[in-house]
Amino acid sequence: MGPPRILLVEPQFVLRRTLVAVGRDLGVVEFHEAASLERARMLLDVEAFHGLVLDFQDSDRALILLDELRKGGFASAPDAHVVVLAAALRPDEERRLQGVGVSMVLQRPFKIGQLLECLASGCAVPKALV
Amino acid sequence: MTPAPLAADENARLHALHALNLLDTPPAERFDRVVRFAAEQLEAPIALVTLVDRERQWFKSRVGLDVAETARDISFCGHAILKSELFVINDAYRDPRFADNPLVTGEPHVRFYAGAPLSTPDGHRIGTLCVIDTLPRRFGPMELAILEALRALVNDTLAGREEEE
Repeated sequence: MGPPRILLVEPQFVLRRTLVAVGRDLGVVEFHEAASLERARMLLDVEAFHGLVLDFQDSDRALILLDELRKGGFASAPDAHVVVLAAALRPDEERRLQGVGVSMVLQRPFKIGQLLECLASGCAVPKALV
Repeated sequence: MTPAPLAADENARLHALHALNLLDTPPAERFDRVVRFAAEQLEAPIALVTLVDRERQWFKSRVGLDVAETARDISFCGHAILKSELFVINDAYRDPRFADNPLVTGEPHVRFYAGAPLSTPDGHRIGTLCVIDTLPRRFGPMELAILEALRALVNDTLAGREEEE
């Protein structure tokens, strides 16, 4: 079995490209990248992923996408792992993320190693915000 | 101290460097964002994009260093550009090539150096993306992969293949 196929939705070019390259070089994650939610939606419609790493800057639209994922609206399994990248979360956003079963929230700025370790281990902190 | 040797393709290398028209130009965000990211991810107090000119190394982008250039003969990057692989010095105090280097014995007190040679599309190594620490360190596979990935981004920028945010 190869490394997990993960859809990375991240607008910051340097972070996104570095994650893709490091995941590939170390053989721990096969990232597919999207710079926007629009692009992510197109990929989710046609491809299945083991998980999703999702920028949370546009929190409302990100939550709509996660709702759709959990309802089986995309090609991926409804219970696919989701890691959210967020600068700070309001209490209502935390509640909504818990409601859609997010595996982990990484607070920006974070180290690339933190994210890759989480993904490589199958996000061993299921159904809890950390 | 071992002065930085000249590259085998020195004349062609300098020609390629000068053709980029980057020396002595103002800071540019397309380089600065990579250097900031390198310093942050690799937890290094100093990160640089250096261009190795005939007698100096000039910093196109810098974090944690006030000077704009240093002499080439004392530069670590002058050594790094001799090969395409990453050039890592875990502890300059314990390396006879660098132990009495003025950049080690004086400011900025380099102890650890990791440099990724930068190349023009035709293969001339014209500088480095490097990170420096004042303490001895050892990079693992993760840190080396990050530096390699960032090197590729800077090379793309040098080649005009950059992607907008």
